[in-house]
Amino acid sequence: MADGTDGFAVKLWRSRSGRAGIILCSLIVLAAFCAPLITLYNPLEMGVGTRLSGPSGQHPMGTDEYGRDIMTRILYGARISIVAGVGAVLIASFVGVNTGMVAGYFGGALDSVLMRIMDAIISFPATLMAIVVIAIIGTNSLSSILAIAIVNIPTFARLTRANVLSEISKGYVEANRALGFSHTRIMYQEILPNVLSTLFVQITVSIANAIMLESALSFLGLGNPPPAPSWGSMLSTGKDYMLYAPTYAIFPGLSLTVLIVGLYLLGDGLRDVFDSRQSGGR
Amino acid sequence: MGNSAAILRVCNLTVQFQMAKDTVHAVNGIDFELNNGETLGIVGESGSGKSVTIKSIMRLLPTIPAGAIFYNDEDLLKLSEDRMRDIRGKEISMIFQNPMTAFNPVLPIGKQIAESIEFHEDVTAQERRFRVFELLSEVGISNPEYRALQYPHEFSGGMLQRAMIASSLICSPKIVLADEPTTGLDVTIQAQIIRLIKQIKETRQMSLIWITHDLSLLAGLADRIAVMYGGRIVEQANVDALYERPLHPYTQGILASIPTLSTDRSSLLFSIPGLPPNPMALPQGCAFCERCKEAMPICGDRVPALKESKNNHLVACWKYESECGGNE
Repeated sequence: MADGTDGFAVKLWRSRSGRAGIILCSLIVLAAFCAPLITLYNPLEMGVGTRLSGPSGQHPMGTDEYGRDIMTRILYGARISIVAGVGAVLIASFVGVNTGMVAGYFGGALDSVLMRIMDAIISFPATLMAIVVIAIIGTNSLSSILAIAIVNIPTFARLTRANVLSEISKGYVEANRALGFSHTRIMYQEILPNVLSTLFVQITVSIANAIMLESALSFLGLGNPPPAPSWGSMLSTGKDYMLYAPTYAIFPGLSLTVLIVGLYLLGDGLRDVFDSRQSGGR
Repeated sequence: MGNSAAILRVCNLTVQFQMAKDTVHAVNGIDFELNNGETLGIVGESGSGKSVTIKSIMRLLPTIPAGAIFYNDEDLLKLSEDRMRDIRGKEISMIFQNPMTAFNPVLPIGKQIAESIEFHEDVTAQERRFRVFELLSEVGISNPEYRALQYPHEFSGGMLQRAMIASSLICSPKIVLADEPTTGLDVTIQAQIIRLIKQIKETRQMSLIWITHDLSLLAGLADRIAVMYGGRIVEQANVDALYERPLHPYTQGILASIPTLSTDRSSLLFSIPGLPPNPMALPQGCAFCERCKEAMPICGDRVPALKESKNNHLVACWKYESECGGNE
């Protein structure tokens, strides 16, 4: 848009990390959502192969302690990770952006109160905070999403507030007021578009962190309850069989790594694109 | 200055900002009127309170000032925020100093101009577009259909100021407040913008307040001029009277500082000695006293009132106190 030549997607593709991020992420997302086309097994069906067998032609990633196909479980487990990561970050960004916007725009006592609440949340280590939340609301597939969302709210609130504060001092906000616009309109239709680029970068990185946190919670047995194929719980069980069937733990860990690296690269790529737009804009 | 024709009356406007320790006395009880269809120029150096004055009219300041500002019969300082929002942009609008920052960088120009019609009037999208195009060509932007889709960084400074003027005029306001609208522009562009505003003001029958630090700029533009110093109006007169016979020593000083073609090139330019007063610690008497060649003992003690010296020429200076009708 800056030079009026290339679209956003083209620029993202041209940046090296952006391209790598797109490829890695779409690979995993596609695999997760096309799982029934890739594998014929059911992730919950036991005894489809011998227990704890290594990789073979029939079971490319081997089988687990109940004879379930690990590749199938990883593919379906990706759905859980992606849904948990994206869902939690959507909730967190919605709440956080609104909080930060209101705090930064109106300032004063409201700002202090809201930001002190955010400070209180951020002062606990993320995992500990999530464990506390889950301890309060119980263990089910939604509770971990909610817990991860709560942990992520302050990041978005603080980022939005900081950006709003720098936007608010710019002339156009005063000009908009002089044109008689309402606060809501100025906040969401004038300031928000200026803040979006930073938020997008934060969203990708936060999704990666949320997926990691979800796996950590599952590893501790606080995520999706057992039969569900979650990467974290697979890692947790897999580590017990490390000596007999090392592939059991390696493959879920590898998938997790690839997805996280992919998301971080995508975040880097987005930042490059937005930065170049800002510097080339003048 | 007939009361009947006044569209805006500012009475005893006082603005103070509370800082951690000190109070900034930005505007100290000023009175003026804006008549229907008139152009009032407000001149003053940085910190004299001129911008704060017009921001008070728009109520854009963090605090609500003391005093009263009557628009027709409504006191703007007592209105609800909702009613004030209706007035801003539709009845009274503002042209900002720096067009480069007064537009939102991420929205197309046309959309930003159309926004205020969207907010104030109930018209179809098509009619809105039509009015934006029409107004853009009126302010001298060619190919408006194309330019309206461009972003602020694709405009030059002069073009942006034209667009800014368009956005302040789109709802046909009765009063336009121009806050140094030509400061950031080249001299040639300045002249174009001044001509444009003047011409639009005439065709649309608006009233205009023009703020500037450049007294010479107002010569062909304003009907009446108010000179501000230290948050007070020190002199107010018709433009010709002010140029021909400035009364206040400060006004005389500014006029003497403007170089003319006949100025001897070997001599130094005239300047007023000293610095403007600190608004956090205004002197007890006349704010100009320290820099004034003609200061008298009384000048340091008490603030002179703005009084009529002769036919509509108002001045606040002890020097003319006897002419105005006697010392106390």
